Amino acid sequence: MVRAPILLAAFALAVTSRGDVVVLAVLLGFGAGVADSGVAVAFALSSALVRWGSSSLAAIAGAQAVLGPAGWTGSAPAVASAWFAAVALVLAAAPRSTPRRVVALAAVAPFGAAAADVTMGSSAGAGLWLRVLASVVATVVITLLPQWRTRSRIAVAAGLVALVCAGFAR
Amino acid sequence: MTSTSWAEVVLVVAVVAPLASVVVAIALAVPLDDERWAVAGTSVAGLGSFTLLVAGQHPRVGRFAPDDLALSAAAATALLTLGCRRTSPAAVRLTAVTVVLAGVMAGQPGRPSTVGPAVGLAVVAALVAVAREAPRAVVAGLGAASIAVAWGLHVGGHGGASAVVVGVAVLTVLSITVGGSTAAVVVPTALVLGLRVAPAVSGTSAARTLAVALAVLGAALAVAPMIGGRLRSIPPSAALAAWTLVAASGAVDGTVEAARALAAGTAFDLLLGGPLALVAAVPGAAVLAAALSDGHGWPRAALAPLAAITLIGVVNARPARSPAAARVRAVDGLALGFAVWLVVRPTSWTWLHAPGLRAYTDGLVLAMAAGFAGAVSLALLGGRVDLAPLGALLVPGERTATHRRVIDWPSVAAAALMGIVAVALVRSARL
Repeated sequence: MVRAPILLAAFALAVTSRGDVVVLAVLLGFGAGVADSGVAVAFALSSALVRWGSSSLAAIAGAQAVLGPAGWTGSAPAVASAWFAAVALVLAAAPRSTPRRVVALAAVAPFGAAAADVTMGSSAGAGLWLRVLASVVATVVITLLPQWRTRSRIAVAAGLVALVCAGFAR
Repeated sequence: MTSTSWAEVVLVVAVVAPLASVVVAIALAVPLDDERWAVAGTSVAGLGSFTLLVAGQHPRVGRFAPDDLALSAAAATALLTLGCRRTSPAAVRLTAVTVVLAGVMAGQPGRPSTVGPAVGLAVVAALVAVAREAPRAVVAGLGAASIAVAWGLHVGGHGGASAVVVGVAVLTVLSITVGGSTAAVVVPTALVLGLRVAPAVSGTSAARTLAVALAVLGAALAVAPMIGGRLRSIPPSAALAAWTLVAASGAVDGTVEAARALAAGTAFDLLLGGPLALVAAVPGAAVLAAALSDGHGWPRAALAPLAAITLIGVVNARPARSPAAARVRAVDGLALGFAVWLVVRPTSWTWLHAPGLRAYTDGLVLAMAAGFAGAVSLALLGGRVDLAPLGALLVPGERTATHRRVIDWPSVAAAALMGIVAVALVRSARL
């Protein structure tokens, strides 16, 4: 039950684009409750940090509002970095096995919101609606994905690729 | 620089109190294994240093002129000594505390001494050898590192500064692996020395090489527990200490600003000891990550993967001791309070000199509000927010004390060598 307030805190940061990516990574890492997922989240959010050169979620959202969503703006490595980071965040989420679908959705919503932040994280204008849509889609995808045993390991690999791509993009 | 009469009195009392408690105990014929005197002396030292730090006082008495960093290191030394679970005999421990406090507080106003902490570390290495608090190999390593520090201070320049930082890294890592009162007295003093000397190489090619070498050490220390066996007992604070020195060396612009926050995180992680205690390093990690992401040059490309390896290591580290044996003591509660203060409001710790944490503090306030609201809502809806496991994750179980009192001549010889180094340093004009 300790995970629930932590995930709620992470959701607040991801949705409002306030705070620091390191704090968001720590909250999502603890919220996931799996070491590999924590590493994957850290890599994925670090890739956004490296790409935009700022650890402020507001600055990352603001940059996307001006320059365009990270998912299709910039060089090929930059775009690839954004999508691999999103994949890492989606795979890092650990859905709860609960009969109540609302609870299951709420537990993975922070990861969906964070995935939207790194691909379509615009904080203003029409981009904001796109971001909301992306958050919902990512959250639903997380709940529909099967529970592979190697899921978190794949998430780590995707996060690492995102980080490397972000390094090349700079 | 503020200095008043009361602050000067507090400074002297803080430095002398640990050793004075031993003298008083001997004079009153109290058994030396009576820990109450040790606790009292160390508490006075810690409280005095903390009072001076919070009051913004920088008293000057003789060759003592502590800055904020020295006062915080003195408070950390006292807190670590009170909190260490495996201790040496009280007389040795309290003598070591007084020696390092005197060393770390030496200097002139605005020009803290680098030789003072080095003398303190050499004397402590000698005391560790005499008290047989560590295996011979570790004692030899501490001695060699102390000599490297002394040589580096004597030579000066970029090469000398690099030797000092490497010596400090070895001293810190070895003492952390030994644990107990050795780590309590060595780590804060060694890190202060590193933080004072490392900026001398900042921005040079020596800094870049030094930073990458220390980062390799930090990454290796972080993943070593994953190998298993005796390496499992290496705590994450060893890797954190190495990264503190990486940041202090200033190989990438802006990393120096993360050094003090990482040092504070290292001290709290060492004191609390549990896996969750690593959270104390988050403010420093945030500043370091921002600096690395915004930096330029090949060191950034070399440091980033090493940071990633370190992250994998510390996240996957399994505690060597069972969390079930945890018992949170008063000093753990005090340390926990300070650690929470550091994580929640790092900007109020002015001596950290860590700018660029505005997004961090803003976000943390929002996260705490959301988390608290979530916890209250859960409780109202009939859920149970069980915080008990957090205690075990913050503070691990205890280890019993083991003292061996047999004279070991190689250790005595090592102690004599350290004494010579200390005397040579005391005679140095840089004290």
